[in-house]
This record gives sequence, structure tokens and C-alpha cells, in this order.
Amino acid sequence: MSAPDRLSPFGPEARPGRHGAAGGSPVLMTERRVDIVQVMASRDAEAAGGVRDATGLALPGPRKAEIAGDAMAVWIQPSGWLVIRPRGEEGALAKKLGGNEAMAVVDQSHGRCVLRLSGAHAGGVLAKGSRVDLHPRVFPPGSAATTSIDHLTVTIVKVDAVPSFDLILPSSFAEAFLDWLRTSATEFGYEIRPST
Amino acid sequence: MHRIDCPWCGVRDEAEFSYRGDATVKRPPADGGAEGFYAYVYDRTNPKGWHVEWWHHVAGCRQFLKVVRHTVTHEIRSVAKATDEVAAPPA
Repeated sequence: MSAPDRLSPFGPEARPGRHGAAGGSPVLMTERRVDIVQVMASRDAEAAGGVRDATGLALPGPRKAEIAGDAMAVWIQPSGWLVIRPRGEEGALAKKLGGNEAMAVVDQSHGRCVLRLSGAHAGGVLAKGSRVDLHPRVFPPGSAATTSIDHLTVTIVKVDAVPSFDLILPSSFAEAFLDWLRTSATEFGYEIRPST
Repeated sequence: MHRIDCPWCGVRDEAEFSYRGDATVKRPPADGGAEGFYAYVYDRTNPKGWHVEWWHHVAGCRQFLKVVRHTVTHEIRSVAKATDEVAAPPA
């Protein structure tokens, strides 16, 4: 039995379209439809082997994300990672990673969601609420930081040098976070893209 | 505003952390008696000077840290992992 189509956690206001200041280079906002699995290792090396066998991803060290195309493994805490892949069959990624005694696996596909923020001003939008230094010199592509933005715990992953950031958010607060993000992005202009 | 150098995440603002009290108290053994446990729960030295404290990086890596902070100047001298042995410097 297949699950019904999921509603976007970003709510009805997240309709695709161009908003805020005109011209220039708008900040692009795209919901990424993904599966998210949290991995908590009791034995890091064995867990890393299990994740590599199941997904081809290496588990990165602190403050880092391992990015391979549409998939990534993000360090969130000691012996803790999020493994993210484009959405597939419900629960399949967790099932694939499970059964390894060196780690606990929790499916977070409903609990968290991912928004990609991209464009020349993406860093400027985040800087208004983030206490983390996002300058390319100290936060190059492949960097990850879990921090507090708008009272929410958000994991920021720098994906590329555009710059593009993947923001990993608690789904229940995604709509509220988007409200903050839109306010922050209005001066630059922004475009909400259809989810991918 | 404190800036706390989390050994896992790097320097972050105090707003990401939650203060969790005195990190110098030691839990007595199971046969420590009522007085031992009373002291463990309630008795604090409340020093004027250097103090070893628990801070929880609640909006970051969610680890408990041992922070050596001066209770008068608020200077932070060191930040260590929860499992590290940390002694308060002499006043």
C-alpha cells in the first residue's frame, strides 16, 4: 500500500512565485523532498561502514557534511549524523540503514524537512538571524553548523559556493521559519521555487 | 553576552546554551546516607571567583560542557568536554 502524497510542511503560503524587491539577483527558496534518517552510533567506525555500504556516503567529522549529488550525510553531534536522500519509498532508507548493531536509526523524514536557499544574497538573509560566521573563508562548501535561528534549532549545510545552503528544520515549525525567512529576504527579493 | 568555545562546534553565543549548574559536585555512593545526598542536591559553595560549571549546548551539538567561568568578571578561561577532569584555577 502506498502512502498518500504528503502536504508541504511550509504551508499554503509557500506558493511558487517572485516576491520582495525586484531586479538584482533574487534569493531562491526550494523545498527539497527528501528522506531524512538520524544515525546515532555506539561504534563510529562500524556505523560508518554500514552507512557507506547502504548509501555510498562517508560519515563526516565535526562541523562537516559529506555531499554526493542529491544525497548527504551531515554531522550534527558526536557520533550523530543525519543521512539525507531524495524521497523514495516510505521508510525504505531507515530500513536499509537499520539492522546494524553499531548504531541506532530513527526515521526523521516527517519530523524534519529541508529548504534550499540559494543566490548571491543567501548568506545575507541568514546572517540576520544566525550567530554562526558564514563567511566563505571559515564556512566553505561542505561545512555544517547546528544553531539557533528565530528561536528554532536549524542545521545549516553549505552546499556550494553560489552560495547555496540546505536548512534542515523541524517540520512543525517550517511555516513559522519560512515567515521569518521571507521577512529577512524581502530587501533582496526572493523567489519560491516548486519543490524538488 | 558570553562567547563559549564549544569543543565540538566552535565559538558560539551564550544564547545557544543552557546553564546547568555546578560541575564540581560529586554524587555520593549509593550508601552515602541522607546527609550525603542532601549535600549533593542542595549544598553549593557559591564562590566569588573561578567556578567550574555545566553548560548544555542545547541549540547545537546537545553536549554537556564543563566551562571555567569567573563569577565576578564573567571571563571564560576554558571549555572542556563533560568527561574531562577540570579543576577551578586558584582565585
